[in-house]
Amino acid sequence: MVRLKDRYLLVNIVYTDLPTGQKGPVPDLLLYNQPTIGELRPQTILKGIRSQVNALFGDCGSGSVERSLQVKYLSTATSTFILRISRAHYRLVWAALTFMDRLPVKDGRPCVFRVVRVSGTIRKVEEEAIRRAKLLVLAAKDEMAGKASSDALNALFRGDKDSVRNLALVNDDHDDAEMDEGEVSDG
Amino acid sequence: MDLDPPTNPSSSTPKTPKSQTLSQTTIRSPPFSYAHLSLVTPSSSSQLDTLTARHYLTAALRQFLGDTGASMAIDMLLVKGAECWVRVPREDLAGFAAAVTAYPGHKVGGGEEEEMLMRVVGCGDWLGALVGREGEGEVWG
Repeated sequence: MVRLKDRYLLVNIVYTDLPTGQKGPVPDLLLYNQPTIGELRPQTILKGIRSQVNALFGDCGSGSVERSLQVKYLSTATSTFILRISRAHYRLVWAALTFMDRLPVKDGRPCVFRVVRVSGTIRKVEEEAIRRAKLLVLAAKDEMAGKASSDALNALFRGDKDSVRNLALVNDDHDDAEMDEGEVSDG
Repeated sequence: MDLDPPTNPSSSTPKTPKSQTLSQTTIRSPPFSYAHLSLVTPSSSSQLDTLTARHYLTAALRQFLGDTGASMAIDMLLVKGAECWVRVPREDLAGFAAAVTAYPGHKVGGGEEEEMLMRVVGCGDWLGALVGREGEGEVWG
């Protein structure tokens, strides 16, 4: 049996249209990674990616990507989604995500699609999503407490395993809720 | 009866040294590939010019390979009559040939109904071999 190898991409949606110089009660980190309001569904994400791949790579590119492109998981609350794509062509999809500059809905907000993890199995990607959510909570707490640069923030941006080990991870009870909502998979 | 002893080879006239190889090189991956394209249109009196050919190739590449194809580095070497010779980077030759072959042609001349279609006569890594093939059709009928 020939194995069809895939790659799973964990993608964050980072919002960039924040008014500058505003110091509100919400830390900046949470403003950049805010939940997605509006009609974002897996089908709209797929449509947006397919049209961008067609623009960048033409008929040949969109044909190679079409079979195996799928949104495996979408969470609008955390603005995160997991894509599945065949191993040979995942870079086309990654490049298309880089060129997309707004949400693929009508009058979509300007945003950045940031690929934070590529893995061959979905389990590792899920673990990474949970890890990043924990780090985001810790970094936001640090920012609210007024620390200029925190270990959690560095760990979030650099993805070091060492810096994560140094953190005393608070035992939180809401990490299970992360993966339950918005679970999308092929029927 | 004594047989003559065999003549000593070292006393014979010195032989000329065999040819020696001074240097040897193998060209594995030439940087460019070449293609020979030809116009296929119903009207026999069609002349190709460089801009028309360039525009056609860009449209064909854009449809097949998108923006990355339209930005492919194509050099127009010679455009003569209904033929044109182009040069592309070697790694792009497969995509280029496929794009030109797959393109269904387009209309030129703004308002006139003249269809323009080009086909690939030959392509390869070596321009000399490609040019040499030009008279092949006439030789073999």
